[in-house]
Amino acid sequence: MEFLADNSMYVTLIIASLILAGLLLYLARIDARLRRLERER
Amino acid sequence: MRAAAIGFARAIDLSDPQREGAVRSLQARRTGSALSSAIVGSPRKCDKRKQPAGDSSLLPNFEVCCPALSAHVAWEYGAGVSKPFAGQIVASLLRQTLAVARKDFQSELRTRHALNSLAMFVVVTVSVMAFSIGTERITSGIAAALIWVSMFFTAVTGLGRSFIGEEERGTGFLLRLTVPPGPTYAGKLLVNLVLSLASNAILGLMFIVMIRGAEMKAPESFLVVVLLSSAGFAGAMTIIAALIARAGSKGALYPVLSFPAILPLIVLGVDLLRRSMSGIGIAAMADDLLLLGVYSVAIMLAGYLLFDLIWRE
Amino acid sequence: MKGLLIGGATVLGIVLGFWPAGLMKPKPAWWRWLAIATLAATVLLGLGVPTGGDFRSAIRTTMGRGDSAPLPVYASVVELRADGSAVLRDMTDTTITVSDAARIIADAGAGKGDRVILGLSFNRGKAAFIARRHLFTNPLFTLPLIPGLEERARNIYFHVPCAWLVQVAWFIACCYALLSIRKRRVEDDVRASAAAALGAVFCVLATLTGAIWAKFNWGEFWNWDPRQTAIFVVMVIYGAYFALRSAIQNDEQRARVSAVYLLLMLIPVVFFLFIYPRMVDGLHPGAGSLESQPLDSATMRPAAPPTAGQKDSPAPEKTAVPAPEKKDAGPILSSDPDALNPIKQVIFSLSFFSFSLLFFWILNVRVRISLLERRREMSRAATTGIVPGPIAEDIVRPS
Repeated sequence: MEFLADNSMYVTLIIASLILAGLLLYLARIDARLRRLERER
Repeated sequence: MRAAAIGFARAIDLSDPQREGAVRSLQARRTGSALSSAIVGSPRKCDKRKQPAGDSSLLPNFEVCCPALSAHVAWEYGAGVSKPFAGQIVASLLRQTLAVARKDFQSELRTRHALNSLAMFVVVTVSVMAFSIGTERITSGIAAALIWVSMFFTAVTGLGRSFIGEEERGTGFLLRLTVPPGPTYAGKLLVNLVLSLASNAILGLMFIVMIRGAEMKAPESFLVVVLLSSAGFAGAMTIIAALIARAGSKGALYPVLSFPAILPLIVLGVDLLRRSMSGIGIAAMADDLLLLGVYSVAIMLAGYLLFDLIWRE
Repeated sequence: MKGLLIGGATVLGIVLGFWPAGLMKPKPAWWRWLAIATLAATVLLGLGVPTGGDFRSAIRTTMGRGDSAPLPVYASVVELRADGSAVLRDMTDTTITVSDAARIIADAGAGKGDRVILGLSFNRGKAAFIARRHLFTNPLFTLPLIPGLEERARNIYFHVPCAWLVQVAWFIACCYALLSIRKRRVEDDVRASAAAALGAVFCVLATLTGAIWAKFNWGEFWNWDPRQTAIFVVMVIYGAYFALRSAIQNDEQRARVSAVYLLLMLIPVVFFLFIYPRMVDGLHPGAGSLESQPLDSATMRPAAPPTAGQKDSPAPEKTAVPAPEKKDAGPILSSDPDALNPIKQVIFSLSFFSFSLLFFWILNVRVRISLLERRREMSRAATTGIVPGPIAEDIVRPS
């Protein structure tokens, strides 16, 4: 916490990577659904 | 029976393209009168004098209970009657609203199941609070918060019965056929309004009697706050009860769905109640009271506008 | 100019989200590449453009703090002296001599006349800057150093578009809910629920990013600030919406009931978005309470810290008296052009645009998948003879 408060760049980096990770996770879920549908076809 | 009921629904639905045929077949079968009197009330209550003049043989007999509406139907079909006044239609809608409310109260008074359980819920809730707090003297802020917690759960348990009961008994179908959606909503809202006002008033009074620290220093503002928040509770709970009745009476959904609609009431109401309990008059908090009233009216109006969409089959 | 830039980017993002191919057909290749390119540019610029302040903002930032953390200061080198000190001039034409800076500048290959960003810390005892490290030489663009925010100011490029897209998603879901009631098309219900699902995802992202940021800026992860309350309510509504949807089996019924619920919830949402923030004290920029409080315009927060014992609370400085409109609008909506630096405006607009494209891309894929799933279900039902939906219920119901 102390470290993060002094180097606030990392706070931003954590936030940005969190957003990207969240969206990628969501995309991966959608991709899995799509692949399932394609396999069933 | 079902075919007759569908025909009846078509006949009173002014927007249905097949209404004309339905009116004719109903006239042939003469089932309308029996249905409507079975639901809305006995025929002796209906005013024969207000039946439209002229040739009404084209119409089914449901006009005994909603004369102005049926006059409107007759006028649209060129049955030789004059166009009904707007006042006539409003009067008929009001009558239907009161009929729905009366029906609910009558069926409630027959068993007293919901009333008893609601009253006992209030008593038990306040007792739990009183025993938990003991002889401690609480601040008016905490007292207001506790009253609101109790009011929320009382509303969630007590006010949802209206439409779920109809679906459980299977009477919703017949109600749908005899009364248009607007008066149905208004009637149910009226019942919920009375119930929530009564339970909240009893709850508030019991708190003040049983719990040290909960004092009513400004009774008139306390009353106004309880009145306005009861109106908001009734408005939100009526439309959400109708939604849940459509979702197959899932009781567990009730607090989940109603919480977001109630939250603005809580946010405004807790502070208002706290202020009224510490003796601040109506004039000093008129702005927030107005906001509370506007929110209550807005949720009622939204419920009225949206009710039509979920009530219809 | 600022309004035109940000507003234009926002509108263009939504227009481009709908215009080629809508939500039900695949987006063309150029569209997808545009989305990827703008998103990459947002991340690169949002994280990559260096921060460099002037001497005064650096002094303000170090207030109430030990002198361990160096702060980026953007200055041009006037002179490198033989005794190891360097004369630096910042953007406000303040000239300061920093001892020990000459070696650091020379080691980095910079010399007289170059513009550099140096990591300086301010020693309160000696009332002098100490050079710690060299960061950049001749950067193309710099972002200003905002006391109290510093590098955390970059959160604006990630958190704000997410919060904005929650509202866009809500609006789209409501529009399609209304359409599904009016036209009774299955596609509209699919689109409404897909928009709501994506809105819930962005809701979670906006909440998490905001909470982490708030921990370092306001001292707590969660403060029940009006905007936090609003997003919490929206999250609860999304949860209730999907709970309601999962409780109804019949397709048509589900579409109608959930659409009505979404439209009914417009009233509390309007209350929490527009009325509540003006009623209650808040921490977010644009909160109504700021009208009555002195506001440190640069830090985007009230001068009085919300929690006691916060370690990096900046001392309020009575240097600039903020204009009235600045007080109630916050840096983005404010009509004052100085409230948001021009480079920030560009990156901010880009982030709005690229996040909108990303949102519509995911929405498009989701809608297509839901429709495909539905179509498969129908065809399977046709082959097995079990018909889903209203017809099956009609058969079961005794007449």
